[in-house]
Amino acid sequence: MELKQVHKYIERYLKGKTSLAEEQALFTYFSLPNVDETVAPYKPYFTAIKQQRNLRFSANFNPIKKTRKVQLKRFAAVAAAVIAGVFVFQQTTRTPKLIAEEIAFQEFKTNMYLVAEQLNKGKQGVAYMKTFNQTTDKYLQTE
Amino acid sequence: MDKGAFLQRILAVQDSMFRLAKRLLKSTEEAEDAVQEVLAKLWKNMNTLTTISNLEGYAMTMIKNYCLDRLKSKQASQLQLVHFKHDKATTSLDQQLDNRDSVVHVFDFLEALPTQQKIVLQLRDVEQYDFKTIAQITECSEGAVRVALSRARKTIRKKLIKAHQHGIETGS
Repeated sequence: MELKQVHKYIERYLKGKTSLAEEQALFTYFSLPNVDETVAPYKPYFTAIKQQRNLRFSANFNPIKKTRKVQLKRFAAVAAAVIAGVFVFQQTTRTPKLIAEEIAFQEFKTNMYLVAEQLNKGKQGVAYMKTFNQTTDKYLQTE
Repeated sequence: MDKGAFLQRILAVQDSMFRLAKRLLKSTEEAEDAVQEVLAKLWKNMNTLTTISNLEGYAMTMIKNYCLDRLKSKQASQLQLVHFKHDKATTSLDQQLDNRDSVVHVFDFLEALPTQQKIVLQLRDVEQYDFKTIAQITECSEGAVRVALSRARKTIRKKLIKAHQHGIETGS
């Protein structure tokens, strides 16, 4: 292609007015190892685009098997639903065994309170005795 | 549509889909995932595809929209663009190195374009679609496609000339 023609095509190319055939002619021109100095700045662009065209989809599409991400999402959704379900179930319906255990715990708690009450009574008695001893010591000091 | 025909038509377009996805999402893994997702969707709706006249364009629109959604959701972990080797020319080694550097910069220029211009430029220069098809894929008028294309090419031209004269300024 003549240089004059290249310039004309580039001008049209920048305006978005070139046909696909004209653009192909430009690509062919710029794939030459040596281009004219006046159009040299454009060469990297056409080279880069040509490289882009050779890019291939390497991963094989397998329609039978669902994609990994979809499967993972689905699994996560199911897992979340199950966990939420179990949680709600536990919150609303308590099993009889759990109720029995809770009653036992409450009984144990009241019993312990009763024991503590008695212990406190004894403690008060001890405190009383301590004061009594102190006063007696005062009088018995000067013997 | 039977499975054989579907696969045949899809195999013809999957590379284009992948290239567009890669241009938009940058990372190869993201792009591969996107193509897989869209192909799986198409496969699922295979029976309804018979009503679509331009399956290639339809698939391209789907991948475009899917990628835009991915970008919007910001889930895309954008990895660095991997540079590939410049094909060997018969020029001197210095010139080859120079060329390779400039080619690498072109990808940065492409990257910096607004999304719509990026898509249009990709569809025209890389995939060589006619304006009617591009308008169909991008869901806008042919006039708008031409304007976006012209703007994109002029932006690239400006940067190419600047790079050629003064070397590359990073971050521009």
